[in-house]
Amino acid sequence: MGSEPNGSPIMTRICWRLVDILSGMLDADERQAVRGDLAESGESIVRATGDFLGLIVRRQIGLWTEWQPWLALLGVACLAGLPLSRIAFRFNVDLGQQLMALHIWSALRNPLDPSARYGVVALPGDRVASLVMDVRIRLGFAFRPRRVAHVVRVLPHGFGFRIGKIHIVRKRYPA
Amino acid sequence: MLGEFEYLILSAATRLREGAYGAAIRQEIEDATRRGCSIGALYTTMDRLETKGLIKTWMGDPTPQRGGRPKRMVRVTANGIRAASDFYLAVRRVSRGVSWEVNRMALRS
Repeated sequence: MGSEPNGSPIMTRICWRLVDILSGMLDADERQAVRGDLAESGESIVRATGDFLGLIVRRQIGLWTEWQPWLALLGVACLAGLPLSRIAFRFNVDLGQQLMALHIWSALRNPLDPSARYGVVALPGDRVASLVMDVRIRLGFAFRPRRVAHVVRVLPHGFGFRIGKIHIVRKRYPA
Repeated sequence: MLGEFEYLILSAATRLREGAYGAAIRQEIEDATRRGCSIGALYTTMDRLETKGLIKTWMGDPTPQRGGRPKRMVRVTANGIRAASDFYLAVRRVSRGVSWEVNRMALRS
């Protein structure tokens, strides 16, 4: 009693990381209460993670038994998704062209400034990341109902935002 | 009419009185039924009971035993007590004249 669930250190870390990621699908209060219950029970980390996953699955199934998520999926994501995607794509291309022109002009004016040259190189990568972001933003808008939104945000997480955009921003603006 | 698991939660929460919260109710049910009780089943059923107005839940104060995390406290409402009592009386009525112990022994022999 009173300690975190037991298990080997690596397994414990992996399971708690999994629990941390997935716990975003629960309300803040419930997340704390459930994690407290798991800590208090002192059961194995694998069983605790299974319990946690079970709760999340039940919660998600419960959400999809209501009509609002289906309306959001069919009405917004499917019907409005295409025009929204086209607008986002057009906006991204226009903005990208203007930024590219700005970077090239800046590189020509200041040939010794490495940041200006870096901008020319980094921009295409930025634009690819932005295209992935478009899809994410579109889906994010579509799935406003609280916990459903997290599922949609988590799925393309590794492909778009984390690998592309943050990496570039961190490289360009190191802390 | 209540479900079996709903009745178990109401009974455990009533027995625990002021000390009724998620982990304690779960332990009580596991001790009584000698079966595992998943947190998912417990919390979703508690939500259902609260929607029906049979229990009231609120977040308690954080305690060090739980790593500073709060408890989801539970109180059975008057409607909850009535529903659990009706369920229990129905089980008693329907079990009248049935001896499960005798039947179990008959199965063994």
